[in-house]
Amino acid sequence: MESTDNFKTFIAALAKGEADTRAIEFIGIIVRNWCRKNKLEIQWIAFENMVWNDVEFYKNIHSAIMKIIRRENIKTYSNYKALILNTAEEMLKKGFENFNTLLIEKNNLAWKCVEEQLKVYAFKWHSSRNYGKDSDCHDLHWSAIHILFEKLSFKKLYFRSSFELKSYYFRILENKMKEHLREKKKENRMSREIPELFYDTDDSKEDDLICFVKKEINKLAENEKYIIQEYFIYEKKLTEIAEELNISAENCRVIKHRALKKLMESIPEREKLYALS
Amino acid sequence: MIENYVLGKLNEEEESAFEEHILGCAKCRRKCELLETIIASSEHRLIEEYDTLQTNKTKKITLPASYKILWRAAAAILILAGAAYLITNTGKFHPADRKNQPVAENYMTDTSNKSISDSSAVSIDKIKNQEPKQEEPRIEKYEQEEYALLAEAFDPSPVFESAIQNQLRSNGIAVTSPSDSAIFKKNQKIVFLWHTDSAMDIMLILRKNTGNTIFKKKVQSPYSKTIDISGLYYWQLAVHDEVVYTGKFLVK
Repeated sequence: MESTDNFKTFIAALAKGEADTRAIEFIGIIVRNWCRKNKLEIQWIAFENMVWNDVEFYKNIHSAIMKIIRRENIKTYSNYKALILNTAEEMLKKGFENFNTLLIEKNNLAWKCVEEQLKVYAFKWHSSRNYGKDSDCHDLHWSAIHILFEKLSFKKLYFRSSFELKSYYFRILENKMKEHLREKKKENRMSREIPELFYDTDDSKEDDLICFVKKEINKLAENEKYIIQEYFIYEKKLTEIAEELNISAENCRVIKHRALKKLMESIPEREKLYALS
Repeated sequence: MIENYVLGKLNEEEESAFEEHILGCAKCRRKCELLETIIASSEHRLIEEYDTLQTNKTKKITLPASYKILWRAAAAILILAGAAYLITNTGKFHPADRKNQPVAENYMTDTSNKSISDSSAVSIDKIKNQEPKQEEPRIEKYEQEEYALLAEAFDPSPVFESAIQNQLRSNGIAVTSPSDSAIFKKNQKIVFLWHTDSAMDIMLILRKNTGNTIFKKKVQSPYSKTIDISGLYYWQLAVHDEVVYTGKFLVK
């Protein structure tokens, strides 16, 4: 019955106003998990013509829920979770509508959010499909973004969710890839560098924490890096990775565990992002 | 358990149980967040890995041109040093014998002239490498309200503009098409047409206004190509890595 006690203690603390930070952290975890499952983007939301970051979003969900909790008695964890997810879904829907409008209005920040996130997906998609390192992923991505930009801003397309926008982008990307492969057969290009269409991507500052962890991952041994990448990004089984590396599955598990431990220990304590001001 | 949760491998019951646990366990909450960050970072690292590969690939293509200049400079320095050594040594050991000296002097002047003429004919590639540092057309993140991508794609590049203005007309190549004021539609066939006096291997180079090469190939006139992205483009004709003609056109 430990879990029920956990929830009771939590609700009691919440009523006293002592568990706000904990609640926001928790909301973040389950909303992110829900979005991962439904392929939605937390970063693509906007209210009052401003693009919101995820922490703002969690804080607002929390304050909306607190109003309900004060009115009604929430008895079980599943009720609490349902409340969070319903509120999140509504806010995501509204937020994305506003975000879509910002995209149509050519808002710089909104487009940056979209471009940066889609770039990650494009590279993941590209490498998982074994198109080879020769095909120009940057080039294809930028061409697709360019078309997306034109379609959105000139045709004023409205998508119902971030998932629809992503699907639309991937359709463009896939067509571009087919076009590229056809073209490649026709002519053997001597040199094709990455065109910088909109802004210099090297200059875009990513989340500091992500930059830091990226450096930490680069410090790992090659096999550790490989295992982390294959296990978490391509979601391969440990046995498959072990076979590829010609080591035992147990050994592979140990290497992954050690690598994760090294990384987790290296990451500094996060600033108090979730604290309510 | 945390890994499976983040990777979405848990069933509903397990998921709820885990979530209830993290409601009271700060350590697991932190681990969960860290793992999410690690995964996000690994995904971002994929791009970096790809970029490193691409840079190496590009280096392989572009290095020979710049190396040529470096090698010439290095050779000139070596010859100069060698010549200087010969002069001093011959002077020391055979003060009466001056036979080698004029030859060495001639050679010296020849090489120095050659190195000067070489450096004056530095290809646009080298200038291009220095260009972004001077220009720095950066957009500050989160600051500009308008996403100024289209405007940027049409910004003229000072380096290429000056190359167009200062190029010699008597370079043995008469260019007919496209003219500098030409405007094409996207996916419209652009015909590159020129005439040369002798049969030379001519390299056609297409560049974006940022200086990035989008096409480079040894071709014969006429050559046609389509471009599907709007912007200002510069095109160059090069003989043995030396640019002999620079032109521009717009794609709208």
